[in-house]
Formats: sequence, C-alpha cells, structure tokens
Amino acid sequence: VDGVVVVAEKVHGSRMMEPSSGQRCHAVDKQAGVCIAGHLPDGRSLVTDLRQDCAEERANFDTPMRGAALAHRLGSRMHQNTANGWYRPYGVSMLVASYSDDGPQLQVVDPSGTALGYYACAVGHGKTVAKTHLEKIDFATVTCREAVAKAVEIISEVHEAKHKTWNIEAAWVCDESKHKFVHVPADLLPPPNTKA
Amino acid sequence: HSFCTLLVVSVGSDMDYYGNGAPRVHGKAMRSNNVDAVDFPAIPTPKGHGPIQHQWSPYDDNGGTAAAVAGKGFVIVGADTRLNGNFNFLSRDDGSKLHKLTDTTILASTGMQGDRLQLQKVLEHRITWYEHTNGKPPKTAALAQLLSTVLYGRRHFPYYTFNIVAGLDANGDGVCYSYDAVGCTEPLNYGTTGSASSFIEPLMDCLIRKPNQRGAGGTVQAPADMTVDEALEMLKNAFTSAAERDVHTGDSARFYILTPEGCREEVLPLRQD
Repeated sequence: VDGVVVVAEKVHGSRMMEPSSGQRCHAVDKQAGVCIAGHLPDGRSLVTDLRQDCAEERANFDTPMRGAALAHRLGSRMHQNTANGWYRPYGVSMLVASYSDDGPQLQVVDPSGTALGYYACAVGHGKTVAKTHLEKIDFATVTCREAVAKAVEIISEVHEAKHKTWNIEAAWVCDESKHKFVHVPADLLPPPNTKA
Repeated sequence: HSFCTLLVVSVGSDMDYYGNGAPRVHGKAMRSNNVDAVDFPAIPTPKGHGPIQHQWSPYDDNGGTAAAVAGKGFVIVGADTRLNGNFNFLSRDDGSKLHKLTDTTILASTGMQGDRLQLQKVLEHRITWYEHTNGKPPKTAALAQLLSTVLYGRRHFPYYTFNIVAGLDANGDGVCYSYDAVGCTEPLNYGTTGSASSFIEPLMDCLIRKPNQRGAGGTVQAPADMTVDEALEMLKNAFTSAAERDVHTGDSARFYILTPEGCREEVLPLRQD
C-alpha cells in the first residue's frame, strides 16, 4: 500500500560465482524498476529500452513515466517479437514496479506482451505455492517492510535446489525509499546461503 | 527578433555602398581574387550596380500581441484579433492567437499565423496520444516541456511563433511560460509576446514584479498580489495602450480567464486604426 517490492531467488551455478552478480532487479528510472524472471540477457536488453522510454518521457513532458504506461510500452515491445517472422519472443517475464503519480503499481509482462496489474504475483517454478501464500496477505494494510519479510519467507519455502548456493535479491520503491527504486537494505534480507 | 532577412548580394568592389566609384565596363566581368578575368555576355544591370540576388523567405510576420498574467487560483491570457499582412489587414477578427490545449492550459502565440496553426495541430496530436497512453490529459508543466521539445525539434527551420503557455499548475495556481522561437522557456508570473510586447512587458514589470523599484522615501516595492478582476483590468488597459502606439495591434482583444472552476471568455474592442 505504501510501495512495491520485488524479490528474486538467485540460484548460482557454482560456488565460484560472485553472489552479487547476475543482477535481476534493475532501475529503469528513479521511480520505477523491473525484476527479470527468465533469460537474463533478454531482460537486460529490455531494461535498456525501457530506460530510453522513461528518459524520453522526462525529456518531453518533464514527468516520470506512469506505471501503467510503462507496462504497456514494454508489452508492445515484447509483443512485436511475437508477430514478426524475423524475431523470437523474449524469454522473460518482467515484473515492473513503479511509484509515480498514479501510485504504487506492480505490473507483470509475459513473453506474449500481456501486461497485467497485480496486488501480488509470483513467476517461476514455485509460483503456484507462492501465489497461494501471497493471496493470504492483507494488501490494504501491509507495509513494504512486512512485505519483504513475507516474500523472503515464501521464496525460502519454495526454494528447491537445496544443494546449490543461492541468495535473494530484493528491491523496492516505496515511501521509505523516498519513491526511488533501490535494492532493499541488506539487513532486511537473510545472509546468502553459501553451502555447496 | 531579426530573422531570415532578405538576402541581397551586390558585386562591385570598386565602388561604395551607393554605387559611386569607378564605372564598370558592361560586358567585362569583374576580376576576382583567384580567377582570370573572362569575357561574359553583358548582364543587364541597373547603372552603377553589379548583379543583385534576391531571396525568397518562407517566413511572414502577421503581427499582433498576446499577454498573460498569473496569480493565485487564476491565469488570464489575452491576445488581439488583428491579422496583419504587408501594409494591410488580412483580418480584424482572427482568433487563432489563443488556443485551448486542455481544460487547464492555454497556448497563446504571435508571429506567423501559418506556423502558429501548424504548431497548434502538432500539439493537439501529441496531447491526444498522451491521453491514449496515460489515460488523462497532460498537466501544464508537462505541456510546457513538450512545447519546448517540439520547438527545438525544428531548430534548423524554426516555427516562426513566439509562444506563451498559460495554465493552472498542480495546486490550481496560475503559471505562464514564455518561449522564444526555438523553445527556451521559463515559468513566470506573467508574459508578453508579439509586436507590442516591448510596450506591455515593461508595464507589467512595473505593476506586477516591481524589480529594483523604489516608492516615495526610497521604500522597497514588493511584487503585487492581484485578484482576478484587478489582473483583468490591468491587462485590458495594457492592450488599450498597446493599440494606441503599435500599428499592428488593435481591432479587438480576446481574453480567456482560467480558474479551477472553468474558463470564461471576454472581448474588449480596441482601436481600429
């Protein structure tokens, strides 16, 4: 209610990999950011495009891009790759979190280009279980701090690859972060699991 | 604004500006610095001059004046309805200088009517698409920035328009953005543009902002805090005075008075000479 939280579970290929690399949550403007679910390079390319879109909006209208507009722009981009013979669809779902003058918004855009707004959503292998847990949250009153804790709990529960090293990357845009899309302070997250 | 002026080239370096000097021999071209003189056929030229080049200009100034005053909870924009041609009137009743962009923003422009109408169309198009994408009309600040970008987009063949974007800001108070032809802008309390702008601008400086002014006994003057009616009367008087002295301003002035409640229109008849 006071912002949006996006959390990603990062499973690392090996213990040699640096935990902070393979970043999933990226800011596209001060007030908005995305969490990439799927093929990271496809996601990165979309992040770059979104950044240009947001910058254009500020250059032309001196206003931060609204969440719904941003999601629709992303949706059209992703849709173009489904309707043109030369291209393959983007292999990502993007969770778009924004807090502009249309309030906190969470939109999820899938490879078909469908952009839908959510109170809460989960994407990935554990999404069914995760969604069941998410439905129990009272969205009228939950704060972002509480939401981070809940999301971490849910992700820990659905985490399957117990033998691999993994950690959690989380970002938010909320009143507490002064409407800036930034990574959640490290003290709110559990320490990364480094067991092989 | 000195703009794309008529380009006249006169060749003949052995004479002064008025054509006095060594007479040219018709039929012989002038020696230039690096090229040997060649015998060209005689070009018919006025006596004492070399070839004169004339240049067509895409621009026209249709004259007229616009002014706007903003205050707490209102903004008033006014413009005269005279359309000027070359030493004649094209219309006494042309309302194109004022244009409502949204319920909270009005565009006032002077300069060339052709570019003005086109600019209005371009902005309407951009606003329509903004409404499609965002589900609501753009705010005054957003439109102000948009106009700046649109004008600069034509930096190398500018719109010959001198604009004011006047509207209500997010708090419902008035704001005026004045522009030059290529989009330089600034939000202020008031703005003037057009052929009589040099008459009205200092008048408004004196009555509204009062910079560097002193009252009797050397007291510092604070900026005026006008009500809607005071501002409207002041603007009406400004236009009346402008019509007295500026040949291009007159016939009538139309005012839009914009408040959070809506937009009201008034017409003031002006001198017709």
